[in-house]
Amino acid sequence: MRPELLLLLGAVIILITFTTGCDEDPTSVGEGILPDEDFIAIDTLIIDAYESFSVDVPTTTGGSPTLFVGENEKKRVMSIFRFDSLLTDRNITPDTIDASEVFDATLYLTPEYYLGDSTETISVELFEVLSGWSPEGFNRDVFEIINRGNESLYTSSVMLGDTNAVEFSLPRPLMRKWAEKGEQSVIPQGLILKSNEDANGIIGFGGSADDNAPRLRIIYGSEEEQDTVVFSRNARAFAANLKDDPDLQNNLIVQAGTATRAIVRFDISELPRGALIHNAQLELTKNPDLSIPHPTIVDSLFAHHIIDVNKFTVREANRGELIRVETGENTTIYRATVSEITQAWATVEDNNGLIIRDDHETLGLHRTSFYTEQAEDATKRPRLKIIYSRL
Amino acid sequence: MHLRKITIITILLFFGLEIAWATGGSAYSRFGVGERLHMGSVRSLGMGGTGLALRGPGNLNLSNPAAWSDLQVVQFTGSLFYENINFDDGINTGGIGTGTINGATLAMPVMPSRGITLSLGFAPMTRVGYNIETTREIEDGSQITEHRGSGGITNIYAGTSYRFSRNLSIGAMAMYRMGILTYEWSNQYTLPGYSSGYTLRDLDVNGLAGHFGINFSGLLPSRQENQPGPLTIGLTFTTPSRLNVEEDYTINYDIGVDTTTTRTGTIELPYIAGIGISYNIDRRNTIAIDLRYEPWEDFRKFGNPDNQLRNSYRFGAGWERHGRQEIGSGFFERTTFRLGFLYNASYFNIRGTPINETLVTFGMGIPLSGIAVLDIGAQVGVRGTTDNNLQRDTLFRVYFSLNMFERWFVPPRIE
Repeated sequence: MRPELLLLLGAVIILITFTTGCDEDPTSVGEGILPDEDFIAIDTLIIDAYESFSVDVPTTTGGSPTLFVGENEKKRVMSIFRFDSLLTDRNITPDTIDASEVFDATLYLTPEYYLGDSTETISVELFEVLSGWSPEGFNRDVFEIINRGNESLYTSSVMLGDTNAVEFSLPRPLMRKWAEKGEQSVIPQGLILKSNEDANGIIGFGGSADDNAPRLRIIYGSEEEQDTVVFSRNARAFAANLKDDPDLQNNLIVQAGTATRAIVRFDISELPRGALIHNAQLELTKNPDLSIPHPTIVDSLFAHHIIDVNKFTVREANRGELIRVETGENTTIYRATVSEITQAWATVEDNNGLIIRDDHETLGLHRTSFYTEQAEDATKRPRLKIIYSRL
Repeated sequence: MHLRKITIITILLFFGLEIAWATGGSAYSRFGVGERLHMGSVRSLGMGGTGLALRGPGNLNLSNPAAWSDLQVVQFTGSLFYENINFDDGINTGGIGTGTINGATLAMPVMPSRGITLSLGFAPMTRVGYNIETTREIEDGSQITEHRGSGGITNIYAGTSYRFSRNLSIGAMAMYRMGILTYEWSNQYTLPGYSSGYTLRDLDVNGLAGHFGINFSGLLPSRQENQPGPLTIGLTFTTPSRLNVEEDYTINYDIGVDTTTTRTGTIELPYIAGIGISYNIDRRNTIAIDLRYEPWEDFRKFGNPDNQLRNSYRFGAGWERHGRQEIGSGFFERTTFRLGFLYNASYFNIRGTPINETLVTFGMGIPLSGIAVLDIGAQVGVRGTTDNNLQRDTLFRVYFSLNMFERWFVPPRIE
């Protein structure tokens, strides 16, 4: 081999040997040399919320699986439901009904829950829904509009502890109207369940589960020959908790049944520029005066960051942080680790605040209320505790 | 040696430059602009870092561009560097090995009769390299931080020389200083709810400087006709330089978000002044001493001085025994041997404790053929102290330099 080529080969071998033989494992030697500024000093910044309020949000989960109705202590609840098979696929309705006489129309609701004395009896009243609505986008305001000026169709007394299906006779003209096809036909929008105002208990009927879902049986035909059709599937429902109507703008409320969510906002501009955020804790103090506890549901609150400042919806499973309850002697504190959310605010995302939602917001009747930034006792105001460092 | 081969080697070396800045080294490089590396040939490194007054036909001396005036043929030099450091802070010990490129130079004597030589190349000026893990107790857990530094400043230069007489020559080079100094901190916590974080500070620097040198050999009479005198005094001066710097500060979290803040400013590097003396005892033996001074108290970073730096000086002394040129000499007869001593009062002054470096140096020059010489240099010594919670580094450095020669500018023979 020519000497020049040998030299080239040698140079390459030496280069590879040197550069691949380097040890890159860190060592603890040298700690004493590093300047103080290289050691991250942990600091804490506690920020009070500058704004907090509550909003009713459109539900995204399609409503409650239970049709609640009744009144108990702080709770007053009504429900709305419909048979979507009547609404969306009108071909299911037999043509013969159009030209037939309706002999009977009966609604069956099966109790599966009650709150109060099992021997107590409440009056449950049915009203026709006259305007259109959608489970997606439904909230308390929509309910109020739909509920206005409706006429009672039927009233039935129900004992809270009863487990048998409750029958409600529906007016036959209503059934003919719902079944009618053609240009003048009316789209059936469903029914509202209300209780009498002095009711002392709440009953929950099956909403969407197969076994206990509402069933509508229609018997139609002629005197000589009658036929029966039963609508049951695809019933939609929503439960609303409407007894008291707290001022949402001035209270921090998370309420199931009305999909009320709490909004709390913090200004983190006090954080030094270039701070490295290690931990951020949201701290809310429970306001017992406005809260309605649930007997079994715990740890159902989640904090999310608000993506769109004009909307209070959340992307499910997107940075939702579980809020844990710590019950003290005199106060109950709700805490959530919101480090990643705060890091995002400090770096790449707009700080639109946090939204607190109940994971059972379409399921239960409970309400959690927190003190706002207006609380006289400053220690009870919503606060964000940020642990950070700055090189 | 053909230019094509030189190009290949240069590309390999530049490729190596990209991968060779391995993380790891002495924690002292955290300060200033990193560990100071001195431009010089492997020949001079083996002679205690001397070189300001070394001259000769085959000496591609980067310390003093005036020495280029003695070059007679095109010369290419590429060098590698390997360093092994053992750390000792009085409690713990550790070690690391790091390899890197030590530069490459091409020199072309375009008018040897007047000592006019053009040269260009690159050489590292500073190096940042450390990787230290620290643990601090906070609240009920621990904060584990990995401190890493890497990068450095490289001089890319082009220059020329001119000989006024056999005893007096001058040289100058323009240097473009560039590089990225990277400092990283990775934090992890044993505390629940604490998220890890990564902070990166990059300083991208660039700027110009000039380096000038003069060699005078007229103090003692020449022993041979048309040859310079045996005693040479070399003087060099490197201008202060104001480097533009853009600092990027990046924060990165586990969730992947990051943000970068940027600021721009300057880093002001001090001048470097040097004086050296060499004496050719006879045709085969040369001794040399050098003294260089760098007033780092003039250093400014974003306009601020650094109280961890001090004015530094560097003293070196060396001896060289040239190999025989005669055909038929044995390997050891043809090999050049070097020995030296180096004391470097470095520019680090950590918490008031000066960091000094004492090294013994060795070197060999092995002729590989009529057109190439392999220079090998080694340095062994210590740096720093375990006093004041600092660390002592035991250093072993070895340098390899391949010097290749080719005659380019040969006038055509007139028949």
